[in-house]
Amino acid sequence: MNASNPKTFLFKIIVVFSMILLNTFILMDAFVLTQSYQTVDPIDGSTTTSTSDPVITSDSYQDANIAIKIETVNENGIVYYVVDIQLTSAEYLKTAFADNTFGKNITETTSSMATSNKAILAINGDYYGFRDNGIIIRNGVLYRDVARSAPDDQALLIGLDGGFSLVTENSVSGTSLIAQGVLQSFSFGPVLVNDGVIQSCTTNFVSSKANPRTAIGMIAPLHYLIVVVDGRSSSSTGMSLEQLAQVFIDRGATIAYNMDGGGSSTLWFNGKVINNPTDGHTNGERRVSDIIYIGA
Amino acid sequence: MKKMILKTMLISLGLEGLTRFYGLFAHGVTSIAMESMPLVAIGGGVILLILLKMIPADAPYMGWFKRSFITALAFLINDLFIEGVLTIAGGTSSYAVILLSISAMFWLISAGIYSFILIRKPMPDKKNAEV
Repeated sequence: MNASNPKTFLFKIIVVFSMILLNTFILMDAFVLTQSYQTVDPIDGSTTTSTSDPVITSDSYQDANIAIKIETVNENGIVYYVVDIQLTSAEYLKTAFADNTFGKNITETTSSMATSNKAILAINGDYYGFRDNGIIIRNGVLYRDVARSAPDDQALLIGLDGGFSLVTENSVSGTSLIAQGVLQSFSFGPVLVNDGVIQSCTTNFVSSKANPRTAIGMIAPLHYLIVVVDGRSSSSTGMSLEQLAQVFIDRGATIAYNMDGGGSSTLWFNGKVINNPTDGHTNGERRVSDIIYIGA
Repeated sequence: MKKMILKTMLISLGLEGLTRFYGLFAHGVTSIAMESMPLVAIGGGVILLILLKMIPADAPYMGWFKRSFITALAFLINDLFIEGVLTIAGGTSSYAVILLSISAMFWLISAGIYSFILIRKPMPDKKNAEV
């Protein structure tokens, strides 16, 4: 192509300009432009009343329906937090969207969402709002019925009985899951543990690298484990997914599922952030699109 | 021809450098799409060279064929880069397919022009053919 030819030069300019415009638009759509699809009424905690005054310490919570115990572990240069949760009903395990809105790129800090929803304990969720796909059911309502591409399409489900199960998104529909009584679905992954066995983490989830992590698992219905790992800092390197899965296995989990990690990993309990969220460059909480929380 | 080979190699090296540089900030997340950019550039360059060898250098619409082929390749590589960025960040955009569509459109155009050039290849001399 001869640059001295005005037609060729004009063609090149048009192509380059089109590319710049398209790239800007696509990246803005993916990361910046917010889109509100549905406003959600916050769950009214007053419908699930506790029958006793809670006993709260710096690392535990206990009332008639909810028992939470947080263990901080510091070993081999890794700091992580293991939360043991026992509930009397699955209705105490809830989720919330940033700004109480289901949409894209709508974000809020975990602590802000936890506070506004009167949570006892909260972690960041699957950051559903960063993607256009993935089946999303929250608090018994279907918000998105678009499966992710195989093979990275294993979703975690929480049923009415509080039991965890796994499903391949392309093999089901959101409406059928709702009909089966699914209360929550999480679309991230990968699956860390299934049937008490560590799953091979071969997909593109930074599996072998040490990173901050957030994951949730089940020992038995209504008996859960949450593990949040600090990383990308001098005090804690983080964990690989295999290491994370081993933590769940060591504590008797039958199912465990990886949530959004990295700078998103946040553990909030009784009014304060327990872990040290960082993306490796800046410290502090990252704004995310959703949380999982325990609330009365 | 040498100039085109050199350009292809330089672009491939540049794309490899870009992939590695981006990887520094990816916390170990990789993207097959992004990693395949240099290979696609080399592959595209090789195919273009082979195709150009098969037609006369002064064939009509040669310039438009090269332009459309290179544009298709550029949009394809651009799509791979954007797919890579989105994969590494864990995000999606339903508009990313536009880049692939434009690339496909230019592939079709270049294929059409190339077919036209092939069909219009100079026939054997008519006088000699009659003799």
